[in-house]
Amino acid sequence: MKAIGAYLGVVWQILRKDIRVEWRGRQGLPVMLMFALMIVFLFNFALQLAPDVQAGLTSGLLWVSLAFASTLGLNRSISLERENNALDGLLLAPVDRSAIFFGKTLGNFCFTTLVGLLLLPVFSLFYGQNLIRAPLLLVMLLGLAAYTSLGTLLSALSIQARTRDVLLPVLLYPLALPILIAAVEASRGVLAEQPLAEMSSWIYLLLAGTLIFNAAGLLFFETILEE
Amino acid sequence: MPANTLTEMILGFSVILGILAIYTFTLILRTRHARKKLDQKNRD
Amino acid sequence: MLKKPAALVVLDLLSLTLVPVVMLIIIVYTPVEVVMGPVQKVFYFHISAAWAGMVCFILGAVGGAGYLLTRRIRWDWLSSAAIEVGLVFSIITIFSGMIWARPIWNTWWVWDPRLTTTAIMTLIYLAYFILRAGVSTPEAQARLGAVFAILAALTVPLTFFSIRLFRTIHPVVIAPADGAGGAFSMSPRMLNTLLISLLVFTVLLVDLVWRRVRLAQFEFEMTREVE
Repeated sequence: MKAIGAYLGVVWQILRKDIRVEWRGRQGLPVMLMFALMIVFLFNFALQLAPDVQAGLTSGLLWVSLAFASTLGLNRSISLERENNALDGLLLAPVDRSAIFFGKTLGNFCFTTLVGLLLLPVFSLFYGQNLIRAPLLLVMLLGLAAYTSLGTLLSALSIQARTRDVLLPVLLYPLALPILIAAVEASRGVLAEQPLAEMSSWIYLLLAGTLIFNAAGLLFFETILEE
Repeated sequence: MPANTLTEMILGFSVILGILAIYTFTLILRTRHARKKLDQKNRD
Repeated sequence: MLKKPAALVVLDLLSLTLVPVVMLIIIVYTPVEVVMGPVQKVFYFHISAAWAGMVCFILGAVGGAGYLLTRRIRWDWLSSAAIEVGLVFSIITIFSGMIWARPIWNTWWVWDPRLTTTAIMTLIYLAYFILRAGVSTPEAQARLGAVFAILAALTVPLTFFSIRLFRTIHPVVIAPADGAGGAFSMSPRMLNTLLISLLVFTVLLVDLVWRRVRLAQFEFEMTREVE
């Protein structure tokens, strides 16, 4: 029982630390948000679509923006540990290192979700649709749960390489594709006012992804961080 | 009547066998190179 | 170790003879498909290459798991060798698929689940080598490569199902040149040929992977002697 307490303690400690760093520095979130918005503008001008066609692309654009913006957050989150050598201190604690994984994943999840929540009213404004609805929030939470757990895992992998920041997108995007497809399709269905039951396959896919990647984190994070 | 796709078939097989051949060739070259360097090292 | 094991010589000879034999079978024994004509015969090698690639990637994950469990470097040799050979087969699958698609669908690329999944897998496993190249020590290459190989293999079914589900919802409306849609029913002779093809490619894959493992072994011995 005490072991679980210690474990959860470390998870909470890391989450709190990441939130506190962000709160004090306030660099990560605004940058992520700005980046997401820039992508929206970029696509708007690059594709030059008729307004009605654009509206149909909302869900795709939302997830592309989130995927790209979250890469910034993921890189930043893991390099925090490297910079302050805080990771070494954490690693000395007699707790399974997967606790670090869950702490980091929760932090990444919170920040990316925050960006997503801030994007919803912006998208609603730009594309004349109401994106602030409960089913879409559910899809977003589920999709981000799967995506950020995979992202955290791969960010730990990529930071071990010399090519660091550049490596994460290379590793993440192809592996995350099924998650992104499922998230986009489920979002599209929600925006088209389809009942959630019709999107059950996509939801199951997102659930499967969340399960698999968190299990992988539990299994492999310690191995990744070995010296 | 079947479509006349003989050229495409030849192209297809050439590509497949060609890629296999090229890869096998690179394997042979790399192995010989590694063997040679290993022999050199063993001799020193 | 330097001398070629007898089994490998046998395997080499087998591969060298079986491939021309099966080609002969395909050209002479197997009937020409009524609609597509001779180009359909490429299909036997296309499917066999896809199969071989899949086996290789599973082998790569098995090798990765073996390394993580035993920390013996020969498992890493297996893992990286299998993935390299798997990439070759995937590239063959893609090109043969394109050449087969061209006369039938009048386009070089079709977004069908199998071909798309193969393309994504190619990207994922190219990323595998980019990861290894970016890491400094052989131990880290083996360890991180193993984690990625296992993760990658886990996501392949996710990717395939998500794309297949996507395709059933958004079918591609490209008019095939002949109206048959590229589907054909297989006569018993065709089925036999396919099975023989699969067998030959399996022999080929074992031969290539084994040779690649030997190369990895030589290269390892080379670096080891430096100390």
